[in-house]
Amino acid sequence: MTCADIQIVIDESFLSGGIKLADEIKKHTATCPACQNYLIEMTSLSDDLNLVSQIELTSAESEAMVSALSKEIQPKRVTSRFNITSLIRSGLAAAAIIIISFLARPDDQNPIVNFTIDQYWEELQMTRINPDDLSLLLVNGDGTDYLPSLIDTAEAKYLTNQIPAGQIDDLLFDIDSEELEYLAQNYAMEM
Amino acid sequence: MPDEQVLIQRAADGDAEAFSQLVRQYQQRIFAFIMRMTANREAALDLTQDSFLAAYQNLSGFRRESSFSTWLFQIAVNKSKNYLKKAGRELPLPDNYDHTDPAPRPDDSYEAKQNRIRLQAEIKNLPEKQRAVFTLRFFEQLKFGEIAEIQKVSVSSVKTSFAEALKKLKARLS
Repeated sequence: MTCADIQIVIDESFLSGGIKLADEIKKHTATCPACQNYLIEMTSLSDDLNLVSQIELTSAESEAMVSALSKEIQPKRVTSRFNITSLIRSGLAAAAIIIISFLARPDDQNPIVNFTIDQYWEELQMTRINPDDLSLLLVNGDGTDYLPSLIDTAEAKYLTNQIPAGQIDDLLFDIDSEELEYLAQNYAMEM
Repeated sequence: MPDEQVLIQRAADGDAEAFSQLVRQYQQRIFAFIMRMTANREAALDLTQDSFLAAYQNLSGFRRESSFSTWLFQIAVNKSKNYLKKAGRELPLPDNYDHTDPAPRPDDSYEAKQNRIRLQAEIKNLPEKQRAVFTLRFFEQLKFGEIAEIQKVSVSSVKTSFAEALKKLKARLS
C-alpha cells in the first residue's frame, strides 16, 4: 500500500464515525512520519467532532412537535403558518394577483375558473405579470379564498424542488416586491 | 411496525397517525441537521416542524425516485437555506452570536462545554454549501451520491465541497 492508499483508508475510517485501523495500516503509520502526522490530525478532528455529534430533541420537544403537527394537518388548513421568505412571498403574491385577476373576470371570459390548484400553477408559470393586474386586484377581491391553498401548494412545490427559484424570480417582472408583499399580507389579514 | 412505504402511502391518503410515525422516525435527524446549519435551537425547532409540514403537504408529489429520507433532507436543506438567506447569516459569526451549547450534557466540565461551543461555531463558520455537505456526510452518514441528489449537484462537486470543509476545519481546530 502506498501512502496515498493509507490516507484514503484513514479518511474512510474517519467518515464512518471513528478512526479504527487494521494492524497493517497501524504498522505503516508507525514508521511513516507523513502518514503518522495525517493520522494524528484526523484522529484529533474526529475526536473533536464527536463532541458535537449528539444534538437531540428532548422528549418534551419531540412530543410537542408531533402534537403541533397533528393539529396542523387536520383536514383543510385555512391559513398558512409559514414564515415565507420575501422572495417566495412576493412571487406567490404575484401568483395570487394573476389568478385573482383571472377569477375576477366574468365566467364567460375566464379561461381558468374551474382549474385545480395545480392547473392554476401551470397557468401561472406561463404568465408574466402585467402591472395592470394590480389595479384589477384592488378593485375586485374575488377569488381570495384561493390564496391560502395556493401559497401552501406553491411553497411545498418550491421546497421540494418542483419549482426552481428562477421561475419565481420571473414572476417579479416589473413589479415592486414590497408592494406585492404588502398586498399579500393585507389579503391574508382579511381572510 | 408497518413498512415505511406503507406509512408514506397512508400519510399521503391523509392518515395523521401514519404521518406522526414518520415524524417520530426522522425528527431527530432532521432537527440535528438543521441545528448544525443554523446554530440556533429555537429556529431549528421551527424549521424542523415546517419541514415536516411541507413534506406532508406535498406527499402526493413525492415520486419515490429517491428515498423518503433523502427527500426530507432536501426539504430541510431548502428550509435552512431560506432561513439563512432571510437572517443574512452567511457572514462570519457576529460578536453577539448565541453561545448555546449545541449538545448540553449535565455532567460536563466547563472546558468540554466550551469546546463544543467552539466546534459548533467553526462548523457554523463554514460556507453554507460546505456546511451542508459536511454535516450530511459526517454526522448523518449519507453517501456522497445521496448528498449530490439532495443538493442537485454532481458527486464530484460534493466531494470537493467536503474536502474543502475538512481542510478548513482541520486548520481551524489544530
